[in-house]
Amino acid sequence: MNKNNKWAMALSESDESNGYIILEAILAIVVFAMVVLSVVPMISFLLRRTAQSRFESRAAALLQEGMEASYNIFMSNWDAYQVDGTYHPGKSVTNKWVLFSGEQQNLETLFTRSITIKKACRNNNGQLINNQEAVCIGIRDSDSRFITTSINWEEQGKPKSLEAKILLTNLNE
Amino acid sequence: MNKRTAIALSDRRESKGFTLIELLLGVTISVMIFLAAGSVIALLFRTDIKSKNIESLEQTKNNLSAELTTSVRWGELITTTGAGELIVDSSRYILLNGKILKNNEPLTSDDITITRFEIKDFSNSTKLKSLEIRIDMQNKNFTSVKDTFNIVVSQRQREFDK
Repeated sequence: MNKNNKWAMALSESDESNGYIILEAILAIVVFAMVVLSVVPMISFLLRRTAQSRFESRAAALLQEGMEASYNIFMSNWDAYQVDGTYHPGKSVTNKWVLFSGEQQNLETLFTRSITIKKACRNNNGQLINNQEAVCIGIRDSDSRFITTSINWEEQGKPKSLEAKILLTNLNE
Repeated sequence: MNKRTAIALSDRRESKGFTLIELLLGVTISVMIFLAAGSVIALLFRTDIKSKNIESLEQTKNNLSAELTTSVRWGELITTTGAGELIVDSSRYILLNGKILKNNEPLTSDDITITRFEIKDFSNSTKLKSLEIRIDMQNKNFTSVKDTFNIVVSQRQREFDK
């Protein structure tokens, strides 16, 4: 066997074994693509979740503002506002918390906030009853107020909401 | 001899012809994979650092919010002496050198700079305070990581009025 023939055979063997390089590359690309395709939705989900939490935390801050402002308003002037009404908090020209009629829309271009006031419903023993119902089957207590603050917003076409209730009792005579 | 060489070269071209293409293809694919992997890793690192900073800012926000809310809500004597100072009973909160101090002890960590600590009084009565506390803060090293938040808190009535 001369030198050229040996080289040709070696190359031929090399070709046989190297023939899989494209297949291997394709396989590697497929595996890599699968990994990327599985990682990208995870990252996208995490980013979406972070944005969502930011909305929720902002909504919680607005909810707290509504509750705290209402507390100060009612504990300072018990009969300042009519019960069974819908309001939203705001600031007066004299820099005091006040409630304005109706719900507040496009708050920070996203949220809707409303505060509802109801007299608490009690039975003859003074226990709270059916306060979720519009009709009270017991007695409406003039010295108790249920203040409900609601925040509503839309996120990716889905409605979201946060709600908090506080029961206030008139401690002043 | 010339004929043999020509055959050998012809064989070599047939059997080795794809090697250069394969090599180029291999190099191209490798470069593409490395570039893609490199950018993904760099993105992950950047996201990781940014999310750690955001987390630290969020933690500071929660700590400040909890501290100030509890303090004002259940405090007895509350006074605000202009921007950046709040006194609740024996606790004095003040903004100094980018930190909020409570009785001269920092409430915020070294990597956070507080740029605003503003207290406004929206109380409807002199007996019960209702404060809006605005805090602006940012990461000391990554100033793009920043946050602004308002804490609204009302002092609770703890005694009956007779």
